[in-house]
Amino acid sequence: MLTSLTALNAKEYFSSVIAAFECAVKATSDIRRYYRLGPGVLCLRYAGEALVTPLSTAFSHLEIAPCLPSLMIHCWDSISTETPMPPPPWPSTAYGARGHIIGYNDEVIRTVYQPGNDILQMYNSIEHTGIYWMQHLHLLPYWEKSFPMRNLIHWWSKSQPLQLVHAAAVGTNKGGVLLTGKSGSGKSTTALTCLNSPLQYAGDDYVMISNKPDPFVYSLYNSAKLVFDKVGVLPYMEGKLSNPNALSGEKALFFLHQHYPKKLNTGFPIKAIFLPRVTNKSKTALRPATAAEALFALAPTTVLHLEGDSKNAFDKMGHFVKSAATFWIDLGSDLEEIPHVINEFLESSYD
Amino acid sequence: MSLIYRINSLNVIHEVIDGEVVMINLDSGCYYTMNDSGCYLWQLIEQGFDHSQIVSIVAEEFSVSAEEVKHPISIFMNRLLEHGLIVLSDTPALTSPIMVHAKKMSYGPPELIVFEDMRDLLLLDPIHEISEQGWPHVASKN
Repeated sequence: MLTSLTALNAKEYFSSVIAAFECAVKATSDIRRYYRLGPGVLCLRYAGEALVTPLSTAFSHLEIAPCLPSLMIHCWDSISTETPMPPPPWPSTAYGARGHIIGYNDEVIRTVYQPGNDILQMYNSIEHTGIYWMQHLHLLPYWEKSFPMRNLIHWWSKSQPLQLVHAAAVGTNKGGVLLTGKSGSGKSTTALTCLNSPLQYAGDDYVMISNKPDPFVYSLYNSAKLVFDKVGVLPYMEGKLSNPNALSGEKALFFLHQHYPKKLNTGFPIKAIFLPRVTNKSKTALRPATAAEALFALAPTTVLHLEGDSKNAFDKMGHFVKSAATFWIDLGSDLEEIPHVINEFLESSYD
Repeated sequence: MSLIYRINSLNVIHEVIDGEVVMINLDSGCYYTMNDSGCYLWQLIEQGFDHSQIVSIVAEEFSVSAEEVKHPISIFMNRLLEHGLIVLSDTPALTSPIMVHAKKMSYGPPELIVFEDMRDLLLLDPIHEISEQGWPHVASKN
């Protein structure tokens, strides 16, 4: 491992990486894309074209004209820009769980590097600036394309009345439901059944919630993922996969903006939190859940997938579940009925 | 001297909503809930009561004898300690902690319900090689 005797501290290293990014821009081009980020604005600044499509497609439904960003993320790779990354200043013993770099996380700077996918993410909470770097695009895992930069958005949201959560959301401008539960609970299937209904889609895996003034959800990603054998039960999704040649090791990945642009909604008030549960019955039914059951479905899977700021996130989620109605949705085998049940609930809640 | 506990707030996040508790151990990746009496004990720990006080309060609150609740409470406290949810404290118990009352229920032994299915998320990636630039990889990638 290359480390100098006087290792850079977190702030110094962050600055050196930004300087390297500017070199990469000089060597290629300066590309900026702007997106809604909840009530704020996200600017993805790229050095060259290589990462634009892989990292921007999931945000494409939120693209807006250039304006002052609330969060700017510098995205680049070393191979296409032919610009080396400053070597890590931390020792090989500094790699913790979920890529946490011990000694390079404090109140100002956040750092994760996952040896499993070779992506470095850093965030400066004073400048609201992030870094997203990888050695080479071919190391980018497919799932990262479905929810790119989730840790950076999570860190940014710490100082906002917002929280990234592991949940899906469907509804209309008048209101919708948050669907939460761990992987395999039926979130994605439920959300995708709504594409053939009056309901719109705000996300199937990660969305952003707000408590102020009332429960609200913002869309972040227009992607959807399904285990491949589920695609057959949603025939309208066939032929829309973005990764048809990689399904032996990947879930089917869709970008709905390319196929259902009018079915995407950027955000709506939350009328209830639904906790999906797959049953062996044919009918789909709602039954009351407690706020604690909703927090139990939402919080562990969210905080254990995201790095840091867990207490703050947990408190926001606790407040959120207490301010919304909560229900189990027992999913029946008749998938066409699912959006009807949700829509019927929402129609009755609009009064 | 009676044992004094405190919640391991360095690693544990928790919330009680309407008599139900949700907690996550950020160090282990386990998450938990408890039955009604377990949740009640958790709130007594949170309020700063020591072990003897907890036994007395539970006996009085549920109208059962201290002898009946003593052993199950000790087992429960040991489970919480084993899972790193509480730690022993040398800080004196609060002299006037805020009394909490159990929601209406009959007494049952306190029970900790453990979920371990997300522990893998906190496993370290084994580093197999270091690139010339100093970045580690899990394995060679072509």
